Amino acid sequence: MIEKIDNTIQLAGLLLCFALSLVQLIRKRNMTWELMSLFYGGFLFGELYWLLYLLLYDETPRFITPDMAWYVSYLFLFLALQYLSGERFFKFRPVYALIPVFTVGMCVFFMQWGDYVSNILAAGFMTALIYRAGRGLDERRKSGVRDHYRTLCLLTLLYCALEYALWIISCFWMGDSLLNPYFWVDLILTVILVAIFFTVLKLEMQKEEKESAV
Amino acid sequence: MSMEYLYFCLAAPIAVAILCLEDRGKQTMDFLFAGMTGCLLSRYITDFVAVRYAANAMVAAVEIAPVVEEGFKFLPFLVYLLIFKPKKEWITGDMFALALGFATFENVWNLVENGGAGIFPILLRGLGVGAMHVVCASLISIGLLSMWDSFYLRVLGTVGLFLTSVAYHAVYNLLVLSRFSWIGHLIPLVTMISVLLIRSSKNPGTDEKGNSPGTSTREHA
Repeated sequence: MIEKIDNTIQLAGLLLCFALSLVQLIRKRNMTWELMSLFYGGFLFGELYWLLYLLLYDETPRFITPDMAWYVSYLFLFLALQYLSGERFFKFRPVYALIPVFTVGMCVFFMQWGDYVSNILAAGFMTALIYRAGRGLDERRKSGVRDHYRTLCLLTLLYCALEYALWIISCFWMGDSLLNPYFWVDLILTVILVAIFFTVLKLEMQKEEKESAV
Repeated sequence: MSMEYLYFCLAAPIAVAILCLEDRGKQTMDFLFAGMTGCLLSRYITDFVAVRYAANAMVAAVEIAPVVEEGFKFLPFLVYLLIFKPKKEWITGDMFALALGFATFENVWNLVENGGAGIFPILLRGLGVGAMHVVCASLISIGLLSMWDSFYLRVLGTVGLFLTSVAYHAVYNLLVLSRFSWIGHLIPLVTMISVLLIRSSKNPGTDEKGNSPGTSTREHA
């Protein structure tokens, strides 16, 4: 029951962000909102599929169909961050090599419970997302700029950390009760998802102000 | 009636048209033909995967079929994009023809397999399936069009848009096979009508093709 309530709350949050992103896309017709709509849309379809499956069949999906929708949302968030940064696609620094060390390590750990394909895909998308957000923060730290893009990178890193926390929790805690930390972390994740929308909105408003000033 | 007989009945006239037509007309027929062939092949592969993983009919329909069907719709299109390097303005029409070929064959096969349950359920299903395939095709083609000019967006966006269409298709199949099948059919219809309304209300900052200035030419690679 708690799982269904948690999923419904997250679905409502996603639906709100998706609708608002679509409104922005219709008004502005730019790539940022197209990518953000696809980010929320992908997550929304995955969540909707999971919830409907639970409600209709009282079990969770057997194959990785909803996972694909979640992975696609990681991909579009990565593309949105890359697009907003306006920087080169790839730039190597030794410290960035720690990201795949962490994600591949976690991937091997999760393979004890989940299937191989799903875990490899998750690790690949998470590596890209953490790299982009980490690099964004790194660039801002060097230049000393504290803008909304920096906040977006921070929120994205938090989002990745919460996703990993959810995966770790689901390996050790089972049970459909409020004592399971999974639901609390999932609620924080919903808040982060909404916060990402408003940060991108502020970022775009800031960009427009700059453009109109020029 | 076997599925192959039905395929020959529907695809043979299109094959004749392909031989007779030229240029864009031929190309549209090629995609209709590819869509019907893709639908036939996707049924084989779905059945194969379902047997391989001992999945029942429901799991096959809601978890395996969306991935396989979207894959068979997308693969010919991907080959076309990579090998023939089509003009940007052709992409939407070609993807629609592919989706319509797929939807037509799927609808007729469903009618032959399950029979008719009255004009309204058949009409709703026909429109629902058609709209769902068109929405998935629109998602890929319109998305790709806007991401076309940037290399990294084109490559990664193609993967992302394909997976998004799989997710949309999966939600549709899940609802259609439940007792709320009418909601399932209505979702793509409502989506399609909304897209048409949005397209008809052009943004004041866009040109006659609906492109905002500089949107498709921004390069961040």
